[in-house]
Amino acid sequence: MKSPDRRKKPVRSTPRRTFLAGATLTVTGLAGCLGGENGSGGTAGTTGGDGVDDEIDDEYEYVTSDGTSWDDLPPLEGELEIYSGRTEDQILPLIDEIESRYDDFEVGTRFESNEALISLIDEEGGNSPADLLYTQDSGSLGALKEMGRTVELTTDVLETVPENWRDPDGTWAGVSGRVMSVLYNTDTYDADDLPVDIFEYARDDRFEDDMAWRVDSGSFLSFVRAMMIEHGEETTREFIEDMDASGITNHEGGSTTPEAVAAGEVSIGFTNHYYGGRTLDDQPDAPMAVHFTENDLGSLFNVSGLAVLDSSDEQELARNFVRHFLSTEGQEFFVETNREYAVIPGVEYGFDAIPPIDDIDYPDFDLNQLADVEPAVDLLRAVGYR
Amino acid sequence: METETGDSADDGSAVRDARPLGLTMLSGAIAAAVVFPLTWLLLRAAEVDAERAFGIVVRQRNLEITLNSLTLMGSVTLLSILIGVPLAVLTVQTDLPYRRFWTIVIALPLAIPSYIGAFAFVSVFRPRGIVQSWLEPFGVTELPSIYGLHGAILIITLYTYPYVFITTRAALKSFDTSLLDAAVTLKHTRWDAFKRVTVPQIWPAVTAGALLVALYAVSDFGTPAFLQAEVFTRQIYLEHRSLGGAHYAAFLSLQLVAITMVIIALESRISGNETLYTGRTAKHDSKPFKLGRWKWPAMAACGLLGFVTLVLPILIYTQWLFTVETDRAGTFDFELIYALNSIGVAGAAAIVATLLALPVAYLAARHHSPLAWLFERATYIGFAVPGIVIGLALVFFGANYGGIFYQSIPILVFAYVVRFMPQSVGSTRTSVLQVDPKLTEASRTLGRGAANTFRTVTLPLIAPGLAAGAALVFLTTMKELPATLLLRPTGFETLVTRIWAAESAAVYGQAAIPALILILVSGLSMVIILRQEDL
Repeated sequence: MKSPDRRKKPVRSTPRRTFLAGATLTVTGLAGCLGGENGSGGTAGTTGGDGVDDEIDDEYEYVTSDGTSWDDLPPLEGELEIYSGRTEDQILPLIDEIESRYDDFEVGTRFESNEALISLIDEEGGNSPADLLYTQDSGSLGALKEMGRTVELTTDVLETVPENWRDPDGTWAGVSGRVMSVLYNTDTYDADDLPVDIFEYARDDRFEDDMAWRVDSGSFLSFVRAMMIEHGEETTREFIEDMDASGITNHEGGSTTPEAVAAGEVSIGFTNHYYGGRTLDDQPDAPMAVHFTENDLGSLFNVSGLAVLDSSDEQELARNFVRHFLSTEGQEFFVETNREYAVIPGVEYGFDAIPPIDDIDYPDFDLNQLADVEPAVDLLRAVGYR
Repeated sequence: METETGDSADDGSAVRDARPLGLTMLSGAIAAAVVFPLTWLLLRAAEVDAERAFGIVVRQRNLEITLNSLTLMGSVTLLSILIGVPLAVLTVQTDLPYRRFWTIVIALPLAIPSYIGAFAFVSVFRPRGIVQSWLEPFGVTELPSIYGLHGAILIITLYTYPYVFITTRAALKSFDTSLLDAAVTLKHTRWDAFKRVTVPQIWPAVTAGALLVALYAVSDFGTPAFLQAEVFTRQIYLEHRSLGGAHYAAFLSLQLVAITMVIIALESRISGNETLYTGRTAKHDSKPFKLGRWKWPAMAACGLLGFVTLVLPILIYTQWLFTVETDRAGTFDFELIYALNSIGVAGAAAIVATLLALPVAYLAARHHSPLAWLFERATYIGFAVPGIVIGLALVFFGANYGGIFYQSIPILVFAYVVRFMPQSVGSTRTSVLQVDPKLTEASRTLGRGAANTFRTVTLPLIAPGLAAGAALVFLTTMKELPATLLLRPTGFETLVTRIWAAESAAVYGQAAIPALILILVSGLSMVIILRQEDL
């Protein structure tokens, strides 16, 4: 492995504390989303949480989609335990910054893969020490909801996040966005040479033995599951088998693929856009750029998101913590440090190497359909990927 | 309870141990405690309906994984014997120059976690890695792939053969070389003498080391995952890491446990259970075999092995240490507490494992009863079960029935004991076998009680074995990752959790410091192991 060359200038979120301090009082009811009629318990098909709406304190000043400063949020007090499916370099600086703002607030964090954490929560049962689950994709949050282990978030939080990027039952909210992308080596291809249809990559002889993707991530499962929902199992199976037949390299680990493309090991790599962005942050001169397919699953939009656990005894504190992620400073962190997209329009995407989300023709896909990824797991088993 | 069989039963004086009942019950309780977490697998497997379970077990893929795992285990074991035994002979019975130095070099790879070795290997040998770039001017555009089962076999062998090397060495050192001299005098060739005299004497030690290699190979996760070899552990991890895969993982784990039990039972058949009283009375004054000109190729082979297994990974990590600079690494700064935590839990695990291993190993060595055999063999199962399985099992029992102990150090240490105790059991049992029962009989005849005899006669004699076992447990605990991740208290960071965090964030330079410190600390404990046999 080529040793990573990292000469990056410091990039840190720069909180604009005074931002829109007065414009934060948008209070909108969203009662329709907060039906508490759903049963609890671990059976499949359970939607919604444990019906604790009455505990939700709606008296606070809320976060809004225009951007709300941390200064305008209620202070956090107490202890929270967060299980995080994202690696600590991607999220701990934000958690640390929030923690350090308040004297009487402490956060414990455990990092593992989304799925390992869900197994963990499942084995722990009602005694789970976790208050919040933060995951890399909506599918894992949907799975937690299916297990009956989530509770509703506050109305303002749900109002702030676009409808497609949160649970309609209000049990989880996306806090940062990412799009599947085609990374390509610019020594080998121009953007114009590249197909805008994901299926073309499996058919085109030019790409034989010259592609790589990451197969061990939740995003990959989501991608496969989404394709099964849109195009059926047969087409999806053929697609994966064709990709395999064309000699695509299966990688594990998020940065492996972009680094392989940057190093010229392969010319085409499929990953979430921000892995490309981060590699370009580290190696600005790398012969690599980001390309997107048009209106198909090759540019599937997904979110990292937060859910509050039903077993938490700090549910109100946990909900307020979610607000901090969705405020201006939190969203700026995702953009400036991780190169992800903000989920609120109030924070812009200012990174030259990758277009803003509005310029990308991503498909209109309901992320809640990705809660049950088991069919995708079965399919991958069947084609010998697992 | 009919536990008293064999020689001590018909020995009227009953001086060896008059009351094995208490010891048997204690051993049984210890064996039950370390096997107990595996009942979790049965709980999970029982949740699957029969038809689906059948489909899971009989499918083609399952067969492939089983075959791959057996191939991995068999090949690594065989190769380890082929490397470990000759090197042990070389460093004990020949006049190889700088024997002490080479002994340390050859044993030291055990101190390096195989995933660290795998990581370095992949950097160097991967299709377009360092070696390929050296060969580029000579027209080599691509190297044969290191990925796959063959790569995993190679790397796991390079980091586990020392188990065979160490146990074989110990046997060679304590065996009576006058027998060998006699054989040579009787006009046997050296090779004949080796086959007829040495091999039977060291065979139990070789198989004991080989068993540890086999079980380690089949339970190792990092290396197969890294090299994409499709074996049980990787599959079990993948299943646990995909939603809804827990049931399938439970079935895979049960298959793995079943295979393991066969291996464990087989090993005791193959190795026999003979007593090796020769122990400390062996003569070491026999003349070493003269290598002559062969000493050069012999030293070259040792040097090459040392370069590949030790120097290479250390160079790679050191290189990362100096080349990598990123602001994102802020959360990965090294703190001394990581090393102290590692040493603390590994030390605790070593002490607890040694204490628990003692009664089990003593009973098995002194009383040839079926129960003693069963209890001793039962403690080996945990060594073959992937850490994630032990981890999740103890998450389940800990969170639901463990009260305040959940996510605490005691449960973490218990997990290590379940995983690594057999190393201590094996080493202790061998050392008890080497104590001539006549010594303890004499002590009892002279009026000392059983406890007093054990303390004043047996314990000093087996102390080196206990220490070597403890050091092995310490070493493997230092390397353990999956159970540590699941069971540690929140915020409790060790060297391996920091290596893991840095590597999962792809900031390899930040993995370098904890990795190098891990190698250093483990290397020191390796030296302790070797000192036990008076290097």
